[in-house]
Amino acid sequence: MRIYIIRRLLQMIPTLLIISFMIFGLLYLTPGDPVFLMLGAGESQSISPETYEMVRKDLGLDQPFFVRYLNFVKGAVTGDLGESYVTRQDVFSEIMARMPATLQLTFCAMLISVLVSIPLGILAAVKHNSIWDNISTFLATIGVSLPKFWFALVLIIVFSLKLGWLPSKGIGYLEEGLGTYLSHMALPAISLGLGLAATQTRMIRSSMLDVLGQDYIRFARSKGLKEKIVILGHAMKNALIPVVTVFGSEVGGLLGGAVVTETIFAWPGVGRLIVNSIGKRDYPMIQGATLMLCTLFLLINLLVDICYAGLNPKIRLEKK
Amino acid sequence: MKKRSLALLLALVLAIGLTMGGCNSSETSEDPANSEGNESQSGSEGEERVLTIASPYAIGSLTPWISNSDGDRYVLGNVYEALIEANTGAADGVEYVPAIAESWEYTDDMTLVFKIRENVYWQTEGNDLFDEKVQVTAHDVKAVFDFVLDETNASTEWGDLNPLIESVEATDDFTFTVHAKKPSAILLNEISGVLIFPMKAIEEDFDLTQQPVGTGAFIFADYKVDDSVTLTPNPDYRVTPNVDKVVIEIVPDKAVAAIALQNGEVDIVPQILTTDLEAVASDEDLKLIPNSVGWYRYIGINCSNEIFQDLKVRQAISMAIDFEAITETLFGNDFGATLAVNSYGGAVPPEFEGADLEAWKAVYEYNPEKAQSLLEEAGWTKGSDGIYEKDGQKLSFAIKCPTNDQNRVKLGEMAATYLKTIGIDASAQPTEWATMTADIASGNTELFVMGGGSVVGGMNMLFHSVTSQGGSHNVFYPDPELDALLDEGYATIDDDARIEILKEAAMRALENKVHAGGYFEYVQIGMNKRVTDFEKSPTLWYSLCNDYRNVGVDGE
Repeated sequence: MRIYIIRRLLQMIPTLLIISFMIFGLLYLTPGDPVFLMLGAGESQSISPETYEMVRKDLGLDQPFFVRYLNFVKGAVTGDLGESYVTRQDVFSEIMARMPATLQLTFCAMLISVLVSIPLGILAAVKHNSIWDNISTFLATIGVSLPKFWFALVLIIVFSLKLGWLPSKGIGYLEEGLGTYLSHMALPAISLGLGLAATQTRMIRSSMLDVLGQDYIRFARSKGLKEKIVILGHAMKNALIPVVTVFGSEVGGLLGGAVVTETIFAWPGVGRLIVNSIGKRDYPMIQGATLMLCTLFLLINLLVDICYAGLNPKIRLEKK
Repeated sequence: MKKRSLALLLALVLAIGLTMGGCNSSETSEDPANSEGNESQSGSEGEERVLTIASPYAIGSLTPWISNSDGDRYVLGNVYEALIEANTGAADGVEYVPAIAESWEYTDDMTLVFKIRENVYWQTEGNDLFDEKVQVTAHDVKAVFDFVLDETNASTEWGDLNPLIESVEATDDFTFTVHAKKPSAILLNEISGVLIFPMKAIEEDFDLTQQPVGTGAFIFADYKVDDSVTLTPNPDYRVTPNVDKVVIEIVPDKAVAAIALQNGEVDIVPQILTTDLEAVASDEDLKLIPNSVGWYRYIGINCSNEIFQDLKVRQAISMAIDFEAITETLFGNDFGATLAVNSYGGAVPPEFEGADLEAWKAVYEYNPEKAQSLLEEAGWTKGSDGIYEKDGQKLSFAIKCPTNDQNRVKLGEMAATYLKTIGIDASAQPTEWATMTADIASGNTELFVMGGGSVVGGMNMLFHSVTSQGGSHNVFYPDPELDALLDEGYATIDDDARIEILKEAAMRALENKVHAGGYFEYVQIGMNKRVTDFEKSPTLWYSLCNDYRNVGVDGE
């Protein structure tokens, strides 16, 4: 296993190099001028050509593409992701300042998603073709189809504006009390979690159906085991194996991809930071954040693969 | 086994929550202003008076000589002061009011002398820079101006000040003199943008970006990254603020900000979306306050494009679009608010010098038939498909519109529809903001919907062939006569004479149709009725507490 992990870690190096080159190249080709935006030039501000040139040189944007790319890679290897054009602060620190908010939201959303999807998916499979299956399918279809921003706004209008139960926006901090913390977490986590639950319910249902048709389940039943033990003790464990892989990918995606949820609920996370940075063409921030998220994504995938091997002895044997 | 797993899961949830909960906070607030708390805290006499503002803008940089966005300015404007401020709420347009300077005068066209107040002090609370009250003198002001006038410090003010200021001096401890390079009517405006910060911070390598320290009415108490900024009253300030705390919450989604306003979670929302106006207007606890200045939104014509170099084509485009109907469609409402007015082809908001709405209205014309005649005079004929063409080239172009403003996208779409009806193949092209600004600057446009220039000296930004190149209004219209009028106008110190010249310049730009037309939008600020004194100068750009306004919150 140790060799496997080392090999996988080494494989990450070329992957990250390719990704970094792609990010750098795409940003280079993307229209928009960071100097203009950094100096606030726009509707009510104009800048002189002298200022423009001075700042462009200061940011190193006058250097050739490959020189800039090599400087970025050299910095990244030593842990220096550069300085944001906008905030003039260290990119790594800026990302890390927002990472806790993103992690909290991701964790709570995944928790909600698991708590909803596993029982619902199993119920749908066990009660195949029943009213429960239809209800589960209906809810999952609705959940997948609803646009995230629309669902988030509906939640805000119902639970915040109409019922007045929950705050409409912002993060709560534990030092303000557990109630404040949870009340601020509720709507964004539900909005994000239920969306994920919809997809996962469908996946668990089909995986469970597949497992329930296997010989060993029939054998367990024929032995006279209680249905509860057959479902929860034998079928569920195997049905969840493929789901783990998808969970891993979704966690990775959420770390940088909960942009809509973070924007609507004014959640101070990494997704919002990246979107703001793209709008301002803050190259170091975009490059740094994307590279960090890609690294995290690869690590999570590695972790999932390790868990997968742990869950499935067949895979362990195949590896040997 | 199952119980143990459940217990472990719950412990994990709590542990993660506890370890991460406070991580975003750069500093623990002693008395956090959560949204639920705000209502109760300010509800009755003797309780903390908290003013909560929902800003749609992220904080960029809190460095006082580098300001990237309105979001920065909402904070910095309360912590720092300039020598003077521009009160945009004045009855007759922009009026300069004292801040650090108590008075000022031109001793001649090239010399501006400021008398510095003797009761201005650097903030002592919440920072390690000043342990005791230190008076601000003209020498401090001079040091700041010298700093921003030094190109190597990359101040965002440098580009505006450098062409105007030759040198500055501290004539004595409380007299600061500016020697201009040339007479300028916009010098005061540019000076009002320079925030005075302690040079001691530069000398001692104190990070003003993390801990702003100024002379303003509020102290920078706390910043929770991308979430909120908390300001508390500065006890050394000459006016006692009417609030105990100001919380500026960053709420990027304007629709959610409007909901938070209706919900009583925030007190002021600086920009209510058109779609939310009715809900706010009909709420008996809330009111709408129009921005004191009409924001100019227009359709610009890129005159470097060969087709648009012909004045008749530009006139035809302008005349084919019914801007009156577009303004009414976009901004008509049942709650009696003036949300926008047709600009009638002019580019200067009614609140600024050079505006002459009546004169512009007299020459404004929506006349599709005449537009077609003008195109035919210019040599364009209709093809078999009903589209005008000339020398084998179709009269076809895109109108780029920024996606961050749905009203401007609709303006582009409606204009394209009007143009199609007379045989011009126009189409709206929604474009991302950063791409749009770069395209306008580089000339990668045909027609474009933009906004701006609604500032003192705005026509320079919109039309001057030299100064317009550094912004996002580049119409590539080289007109030496217009340039000369603008140069002369903005260099004329005498008010009446200047206004006449600027009117002439505005009319010249209108007649030459470098802008097809547009409207002045009075963006509505949503506000809880318990907020007091805000209307005197309805803006968040300047301090909420100064000598001419002191924004407060009333109890029940």
